[in-house]
Amino acid sequence: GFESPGSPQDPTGRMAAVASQALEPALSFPLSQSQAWTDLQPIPQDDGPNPVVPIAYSPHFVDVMNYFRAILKKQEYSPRALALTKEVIKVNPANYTGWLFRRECLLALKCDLKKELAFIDEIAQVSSKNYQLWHHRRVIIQELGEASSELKATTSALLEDPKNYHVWAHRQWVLRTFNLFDKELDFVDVLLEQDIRNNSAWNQRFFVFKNTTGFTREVIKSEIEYTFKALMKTPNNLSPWNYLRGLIKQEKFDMMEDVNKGTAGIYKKDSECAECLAFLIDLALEYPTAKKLKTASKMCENLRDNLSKIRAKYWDYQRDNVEKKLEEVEKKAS
Amino acid sequence: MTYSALCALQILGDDLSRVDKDAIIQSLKLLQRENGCFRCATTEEDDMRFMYCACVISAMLGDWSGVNKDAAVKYIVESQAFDGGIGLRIGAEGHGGTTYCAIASLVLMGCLESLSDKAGLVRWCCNAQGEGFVGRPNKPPDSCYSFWIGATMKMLGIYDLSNKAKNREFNLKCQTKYGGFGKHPDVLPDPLHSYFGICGLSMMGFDGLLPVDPVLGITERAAKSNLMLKHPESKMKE
Repeated sequence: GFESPGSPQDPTGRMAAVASQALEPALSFPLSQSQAWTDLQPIPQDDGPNPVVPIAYSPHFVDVMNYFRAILKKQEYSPRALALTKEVIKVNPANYTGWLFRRECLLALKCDLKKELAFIDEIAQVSSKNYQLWHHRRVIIQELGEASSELKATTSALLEDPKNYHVWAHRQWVLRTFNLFDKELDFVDVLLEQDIRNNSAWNQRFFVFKNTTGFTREVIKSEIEYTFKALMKTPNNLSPWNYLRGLIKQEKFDMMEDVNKGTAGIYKKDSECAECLAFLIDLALEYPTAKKLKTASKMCENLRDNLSKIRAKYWDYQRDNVEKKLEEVEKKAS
Repeated sequence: MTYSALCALQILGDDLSRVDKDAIIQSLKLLQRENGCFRCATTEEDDMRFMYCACVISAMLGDWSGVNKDAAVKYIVESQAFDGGIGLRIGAEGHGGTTYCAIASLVLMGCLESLSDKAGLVRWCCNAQGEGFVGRPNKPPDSCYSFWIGATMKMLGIYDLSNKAKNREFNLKCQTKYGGFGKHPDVLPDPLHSYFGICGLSMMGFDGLLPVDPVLGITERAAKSNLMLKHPESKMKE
């Protein structure tokens, strides 16, 4: 039978449970003693004549991989090979050859790819920060040619692990490939409601506009409003300040008044908000006047000495930039 | 894997004369997509990690004929996010690891000046300074970013804007009683965080460690023996 639940490779027993539900034939380990595998010559790993840092593989791992190498050499696409790939993935979920050969088996055997999604879901429970798993999922979806399951799947994954980079990457691909942007802003709102500091969610917001309407004047104006609402709740939150910086850079941006008003509101609420001061300094450098630059210089000193001491060297650098700009501005004026 | 293997050979002082360079360079041609990015294998995904691998491989083998530099640079420039950081792919969130891969690739290709928002990247890196470096805004510090962000700052010529004392303190807290480093204090060590934690400490200049080449992620000693590793001056112009 399989390794009993609670083994290092499968601490929760979930992998064993998945395998037992499989349509592939149940494998009996060790394969070296299984009647169903006597036709194959297992191939040991070639570590060379003087292995320098040989890994202490478990006997089970060695058994599985020896037979996998044999299957690979033979290029055998069969139910037992498919079953073996499941075990290969179980013992090392990052084994891209295992995932690739599994895909080849699935296609050769004309398996129901929708069922494969369920297998991926199960593995994701124990190994969600896994490039190979998400690539496998992408290829399966590509083969299926439709992604009706994917918003739901990535939504539940993100509600549980809201910053999982792999899931976000997969979701972005799904949205772009199948044009499913419709309700994405609502989803972003849900996540920001959960955690207004979720940088991934703020990035997704930008992604939606960029790939749908683009940053029209209307979008920029309403997003500025949206951002300041968020900043009122958490003024010292870098993500919305960065989002604001992104909006200002857009071609159709011409609402500096709104930005100045909004920023003044935040400053009024909290004059010691480091991120607010940082933003005002950036604005002074981007849209310089002598007055703004003189204020910015003092802000740099305040950040350096009091409000953001950990980045003291950066504030000195910014202060130098401000002073240089001030010199330029005053020279032009004279 | 090819990147790691070549680095390992480099570190061991091998002259790479037994490496089938043509085969590797030809394979890079097959792995670069029309959009300029690289896959790790023809059946697998493409992203910024493999952009970096392709560039280091080309630099180590002294042959860039497998890389369409214009397309590669275009891809990297387009991948810079609105906050100044660079993501895994176009549209993805700016991230310490992928920012490193992107910037090192530009340096190796001699195209650092192609970046459209240099000030943004400088700000993004400096904002990553917390008790230690973080990989994305509003995330906790992690020892491996002492390399990813640290090396990026070295390449940009702004490493001195980081808080070396704090970063050193953080990395050393990530050292465990078993030896090695974990991502945070009080977690188990692993090879990745040990490697990058030590590289990070080396860049900080403490603890008597050999200097690390920020572009290649190996020591200067290891890089020195390969005369083909003459990558252009990495300092960004003011």
